[in-house]
Amino acid sequence: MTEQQPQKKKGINTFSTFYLIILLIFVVSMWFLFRAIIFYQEGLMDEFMTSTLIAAMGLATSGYMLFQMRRRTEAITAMVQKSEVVSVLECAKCGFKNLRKFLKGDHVFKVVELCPRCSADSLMITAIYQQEDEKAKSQA
Amino acid sequence: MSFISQIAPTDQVSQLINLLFQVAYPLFFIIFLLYGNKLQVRTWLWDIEKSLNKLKIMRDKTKQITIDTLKDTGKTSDDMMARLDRMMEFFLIEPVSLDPAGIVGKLDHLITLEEERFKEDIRLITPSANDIQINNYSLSVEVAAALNTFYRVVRHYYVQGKRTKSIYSIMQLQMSMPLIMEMAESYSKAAEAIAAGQPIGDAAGAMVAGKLMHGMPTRKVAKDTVMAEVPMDGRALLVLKAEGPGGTVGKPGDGIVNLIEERNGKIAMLIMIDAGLKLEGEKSGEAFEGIGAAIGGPGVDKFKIEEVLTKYKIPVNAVVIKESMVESISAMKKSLIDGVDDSIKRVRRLIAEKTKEGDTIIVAGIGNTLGVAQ
Ligand SMILES: [Zn+2]
Repeated sequence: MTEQQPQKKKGINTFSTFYLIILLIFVVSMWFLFRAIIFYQEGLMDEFMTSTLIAAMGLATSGYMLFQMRRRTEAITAMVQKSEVVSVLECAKCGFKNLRKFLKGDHVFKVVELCPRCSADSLMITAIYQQEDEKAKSQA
Repeated sequence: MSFISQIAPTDQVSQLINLLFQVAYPLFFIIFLLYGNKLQVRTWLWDIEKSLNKLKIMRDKTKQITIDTLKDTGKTSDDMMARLDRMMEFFLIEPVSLDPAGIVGKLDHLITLEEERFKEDIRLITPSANDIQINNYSLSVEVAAALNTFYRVVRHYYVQGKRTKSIYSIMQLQMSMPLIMEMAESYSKAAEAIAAGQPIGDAAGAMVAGKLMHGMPTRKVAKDTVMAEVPMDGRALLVLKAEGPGGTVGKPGDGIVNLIEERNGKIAMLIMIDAGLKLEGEKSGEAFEGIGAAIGGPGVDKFKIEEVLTKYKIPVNAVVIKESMVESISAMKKSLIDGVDDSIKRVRRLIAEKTKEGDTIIVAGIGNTLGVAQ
């Protein structure tokens, strides 16, 4: 855990710098677009064309960069968010079933605690598995 | 007046730019014609280098996880690091195959020796560990060693490619990198599951056997392998699996041979359940049925099983739970648990359909039994 914390922080810093650059490009492109409208109104067609081109290129670049960043952020959060491993506890007597986080030392068929519902039998771990999120499922 | 008109090219500047473009344009062609391949090789080498660094990080992380788990047990020997390094570079020289007769026996001998050597070394590092822990730790070290091999082999071809500048060898390496990295990533994920003692996907077969034999008295039939006699619909099931919950595959080959020999071959059927590799696009956890000894590994167990089956003419059915390479060595997924339940139904159906009352049937759950008792 202690190892992961600084890594995450550094990642966010680089991300915010990138977002700042994207914002900057976007603002500059908008400014060129604004100029283009004025040139058009003044009838300066050459200047209008140049400004429009620059604005379009800037907008496309910032849009593309934003899209790429989104994808990367998603990929990283998917990597950081480890799917949780759970132990399934079941009572053979009354059928009581409970899911809890995997604890070290857990294994399938391990008898853990007295059944909270019927108190007649102990709960046994019947399965240990990694919870799948829907996205991973559709990919598999 | 405005920014644009200020930077708008004057005639001289525009002429200069024109000239520049006229020179640069053919120059680009010439550069790409002459140095295109070299540039390509550079990019490939750069790609490989990035992956190589990632491999190194993964290897070191896995090693660290192993060290942390070893330390958890209590006192560790002072020369732990040196020992671990030695174990990670450990190798097995395969027997010569020029004269293949009897090669399986030789291979079996060597593999057994290797396993024992690993466990002995672990025991020397952590004298207070119990057998289950020893099994888990040797599995952990195996994973770390596998990642080390990945790193060493990739580095070998990388350095070689860089030195010889052979475009084809670099291209081959670059093209196989995604698959290598996927495999390495699954190994590094496996390390965490193994260190925690969580069942991995490969445990599916062992879990089927475990569920069938749970609650029955067990006995050892081979090294790290247990069996229980389970009555079912008037038949006697001899259910066999590796002894859990430590991380071991046991010796299912020896176990099955011993069980069959004990009863002088009076076995109506052998059913083997194992996790099998699915094809890309197939659903994980689906169970398939077939004929044959469903068991992976170097082939020693498979050979022994096939020999004894042929000797006594015993029919063999296989139930395979499909999963990907990554799934087979990372913490078990819910879909595989469903596959386990499905497999049990299939085993019951096979027994009902293909055998009659009074028969004795061997049901062998193959795979690593990490985190699964009996
Ligand atoms: Zn209960």
